[in-house]
Amino acid sequence: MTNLATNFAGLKLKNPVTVGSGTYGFGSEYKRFYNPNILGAITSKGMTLNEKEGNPPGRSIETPSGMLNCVGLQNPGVEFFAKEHLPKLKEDGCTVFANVAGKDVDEYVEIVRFLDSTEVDAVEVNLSCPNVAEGGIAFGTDPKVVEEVTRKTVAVTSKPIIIKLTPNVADIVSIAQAAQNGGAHGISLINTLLGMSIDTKKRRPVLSNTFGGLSGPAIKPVALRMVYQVYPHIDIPIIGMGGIVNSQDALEFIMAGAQMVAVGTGNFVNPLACQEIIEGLEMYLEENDIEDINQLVGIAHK
Amino acid sequence: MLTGKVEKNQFLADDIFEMEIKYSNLSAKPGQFINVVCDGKLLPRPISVCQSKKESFVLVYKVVGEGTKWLSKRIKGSEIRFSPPLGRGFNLDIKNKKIAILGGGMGIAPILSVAQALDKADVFLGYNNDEFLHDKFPNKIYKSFASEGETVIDRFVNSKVGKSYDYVIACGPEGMLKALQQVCKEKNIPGQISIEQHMACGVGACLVCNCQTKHGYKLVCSDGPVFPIEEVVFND
Repeated sequence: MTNLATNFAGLKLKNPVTVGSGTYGFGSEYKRFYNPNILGAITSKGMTLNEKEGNPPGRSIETPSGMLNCVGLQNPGVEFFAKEHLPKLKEDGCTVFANVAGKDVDEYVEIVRFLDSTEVDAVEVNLSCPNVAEGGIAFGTDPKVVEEVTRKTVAVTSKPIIIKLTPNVADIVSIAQAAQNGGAHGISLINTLLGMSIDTKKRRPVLSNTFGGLSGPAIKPVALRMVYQVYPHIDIPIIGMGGIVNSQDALEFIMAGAQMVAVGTGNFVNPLACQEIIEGLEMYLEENDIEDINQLVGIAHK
Repeated sequence: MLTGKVEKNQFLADDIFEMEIKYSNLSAKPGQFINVVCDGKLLPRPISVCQSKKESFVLVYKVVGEGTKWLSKRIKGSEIRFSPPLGRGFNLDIKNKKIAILGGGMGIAPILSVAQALDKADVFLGYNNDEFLHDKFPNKIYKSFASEGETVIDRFVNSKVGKSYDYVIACGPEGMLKALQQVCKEKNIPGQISIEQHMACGVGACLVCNCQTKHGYKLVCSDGPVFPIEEVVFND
């Protein structure tokens, strides 16, 4: 009998697989393929305090082994989520990580304080969205600000706080350490890489926001490197993400030091990706006589 | 994902191919699409279902990039992987109206099954050069060719019978739909149009395929691809 169950920031989860924020809506969209409660946790679409319309059309384009997007945090607002989506997710037996973003430190604090009184299991604080004019990436590039936002959000909730970091920095280790110093219970590595594409017929940028976030297998080596790089320098668990489309990818992230893995663009490539990854991890343990998936976390460092 | 086998994959006209895939009871409603997995490309390609039969279904697609190029090279017996039918199709509960159905270019493919269901409606087909699928329509057909300087909207507007329609259904390039919307606004004709946008998930999760409507952004994959003609806001 093998064990896929994992403990993440004090939460007991049935397996280490979750989804990348913004790639899974609020859980109901993939119900036609499988019950989302098979996941270790569902990570919600990124939410702001108030409803946000997001960017105009011209929000995505496929790139070699990846895709660019500039959705711009379109969401119905955190209150609507708590009222409309969260009860359904809890009814289905899902563990829910709520991903949130604010335009300034106060707004981050206000959203997290609001969610403290809800049934969400953890809050993933997005300090890294590349597609909004305010907040987002600017917060994730300065260790002092990362530490401040982390400290202030941790202070207003009893829920675990996971800080989602941007890869668009020179020294990811110092940023991860800043999150830990601020009291984060875990970190997510990585959000999308900033990129762009130009339509040569129109001679204009393809994306309405000019720049967008690059995701998919194209960024996997970068994401894996950052997880591997950060793992020895922090004591809090890591959710590894960036280009995971199958169980082989997931295993690489776990071996690099990820306690959990998140599937993002992989859901678009194959709507059954998460289910197949869970099955694939189980099969790997059985075939290699490994009792517990947790034995593999960070094993590539030894 | 579902798997079917290619029964037929033939060139029709202007880089346009018709592929019949053996698969029982796909049951796609007119206007729905499927996400087709194309080897070598990351994201599946959303392609509208042209016809849904009992033992097979038909896709009509244009080769525009590597994904559709790969698709065009599949031979009889090749396996094709695809999603179940996605999106909202056309609402065909409009049988007491005098209906005009308009298809422009690749937009002709999704309207074939609509026209077959509404065989009393008149059909306006707009081609660039060579015609295709015209022989499958059971309706009265009016054709126009851009290469001869006439668009499908010109044909619709200039047609004597064009004045008597009280409902339109259309699919085609954005310029055509925008022009039709203007005509319908002037004549106060309601209708439905199917629109296109780059997609990723196809199920309403990623929010990349938005279009501007009078009620804010909506998703082409899950709120559409069919929208009321008066609702869509086209860019200038």
